[in-house]
Amino acid sequence: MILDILRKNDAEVIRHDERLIITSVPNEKLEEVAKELFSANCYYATGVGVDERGMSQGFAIYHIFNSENEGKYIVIKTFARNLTIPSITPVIEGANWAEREAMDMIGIKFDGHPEPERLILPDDWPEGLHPLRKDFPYNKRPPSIKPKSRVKKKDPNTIEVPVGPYHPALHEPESFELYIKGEEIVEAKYKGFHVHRGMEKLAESRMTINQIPFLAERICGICGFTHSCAYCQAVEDAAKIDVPERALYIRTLLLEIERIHSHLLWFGVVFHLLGFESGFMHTWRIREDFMNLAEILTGNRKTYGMNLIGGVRRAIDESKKRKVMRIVEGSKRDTVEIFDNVMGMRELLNRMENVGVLPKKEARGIGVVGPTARGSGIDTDVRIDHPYAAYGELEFKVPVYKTGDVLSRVLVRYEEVLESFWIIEQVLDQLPQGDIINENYKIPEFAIGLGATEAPRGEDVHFLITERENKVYRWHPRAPTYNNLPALPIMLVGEKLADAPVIIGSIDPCFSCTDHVSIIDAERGKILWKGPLNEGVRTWGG
Amino acid sequence: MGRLRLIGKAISIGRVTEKYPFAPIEVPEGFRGKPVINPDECIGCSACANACPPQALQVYDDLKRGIRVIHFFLGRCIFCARCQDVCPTDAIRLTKEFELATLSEEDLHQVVELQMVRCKECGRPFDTFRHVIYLAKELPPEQRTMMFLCPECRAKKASKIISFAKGGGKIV
Repeated sequence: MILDILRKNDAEVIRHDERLIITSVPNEKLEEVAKELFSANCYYATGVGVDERGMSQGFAIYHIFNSENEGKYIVIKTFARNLTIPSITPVIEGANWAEREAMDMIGIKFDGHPEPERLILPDDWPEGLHPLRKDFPYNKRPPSIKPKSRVKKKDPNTIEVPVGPYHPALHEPESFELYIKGEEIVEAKYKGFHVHRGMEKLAESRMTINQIPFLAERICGICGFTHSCAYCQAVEDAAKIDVPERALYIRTLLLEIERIHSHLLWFGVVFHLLGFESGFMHTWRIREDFMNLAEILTGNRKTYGMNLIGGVRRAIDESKKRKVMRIVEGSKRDTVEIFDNVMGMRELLNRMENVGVLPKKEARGIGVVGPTARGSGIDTDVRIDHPYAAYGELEFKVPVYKTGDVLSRVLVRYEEVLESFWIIEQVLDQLPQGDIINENYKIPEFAIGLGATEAPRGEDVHFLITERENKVYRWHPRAPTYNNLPALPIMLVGEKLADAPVIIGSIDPCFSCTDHVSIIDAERGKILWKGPLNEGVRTWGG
Repeated sequence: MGRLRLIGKAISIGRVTEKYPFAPIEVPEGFRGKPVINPDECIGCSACANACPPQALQVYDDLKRGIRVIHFFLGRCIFCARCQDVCPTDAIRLTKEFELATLSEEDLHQVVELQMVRCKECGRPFDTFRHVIYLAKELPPEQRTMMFLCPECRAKKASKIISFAKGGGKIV
């Protein structure tokens, strides 16, 4: 089916196996291919702009599609002609940010893009400088320019409520502009990327292939392990490395421990946003057991540091296994007890039911992932569609709810936690013996790899091109919130202002993961901090 | 109704917060805390500096004094324990220590200085004594004659020996 679409449009298939298709599509056929793939039920995962002058010719973009039905990722490569590539945003809404990111970072123009504005680079960044080009030194700090002032049309009937970049209701620096009429939100705008950390550039210019797992782990402070897993899988895919089965099971165990702690943390946050503080305390109390468990298994509460290319670093012995069993059993009982209570609280349910609805059609167009998609009736889960680690050998359900409101997203996550308990029990039961790491491998030059994991917030995609001497030529991580955030305006419009925090919270946004370096007050064009990034973050980032 | 039951639950569990920092807190076996270099065991091979992801460990040669410096800066450390993995002599270990706040930045540095060997031919310091001796254990006896030569002089000498052999014993 997918191959037919590609062949029909003169695509050249570079690699085709059971999990990945890599093809090169001519410039003029790109829009057609994208359109047909989208109607064949492939959703847009991400796009990566690459400066390929070091490996072949010019600049290229790799659009990555996810086909759940065939269980494959499709990577479509298109070279830029005169730095221009036709935009696919008119046919697929989800490609909007990815194309604008390539526009900022690599300097590719997208013909026919509906809003070709800056997305990632700050307003005072000089024109024509593209930091992810290979001839841009990683430690260069260009002088800032005076940002263009934005003139806003003012509607006398609406009131603008700016939320952020720094706001007590937000946990991270992000900015929302909400336009309200009375109590009702009539328009919502999002401006992000205030905490871009330049990780891709750092990895490409200064780090070696076995050091990056530790950088990848620090993309997120909550679901870091899934990022390091996705990175390692991308390298293992590019270099065709066999990972020992025991290592795959240990990865699965830690991924599920991470999912449980992340979801429990999120329940706490949502209960807190709803004013239900005792629920917040109880879920965080249960979560603490999992933090201690991670400490026993890996040596740290959060940054596990367990992944290397080819396997994991620490084995799990019998005494640790028993400890995990004991904690999981107790926590399962506790979780069920607390949630049975919560689901009986009418005043709480009323604040979540039919609030922040995201219809299935819009959700598909944007390409939302994870619990946000599953709450809107889309049956998607990387663990089932593209089995990685040991998930192919385990049995578990994927909860899907159709209503698309905040409550359905809560229920999806609650059932996922229960499934995670069940997965952990299976992993411990079936844990194979043997090696935990395979260090006998060679990294080929300019090989393409793709790693995808189901993070607690949704699909997490890492795209990678290797280079000689154990370096990476291009590494692009895409966190799930990147796909989920564009859905927020749809959820917010028509709702009461008082519900905005819980709606924003309901996608479990992880802003810093989405942003990957200056700190600027976009409203007044005032520079809040100029100088070393770490000091700036200390002063303004919190 | 639910709310009343939650109160019962909270009472039955009691207090869950720790008294820390007013009482000490235990960390488990295998905890990744502050790394410490044992200067008696370190051979200055720089394996740790190559593996260290944030470049908290740096190794450089002070050629004037003939000393190799292994400089560890705790402020950059991410506690990944890669240095411990790759150290051939177990000289660097991660301890259980985690209370690292300090008023003086000096407390965050550990510097180990090792004496270097000077090349017998050109006199340039090229490696630490300890590393040369460590490597000598692995070398077959006939190659040990060249172990006090720097890599460049060793290459020169080796090619001389080869051409000597090729030339049938005459220096060509």
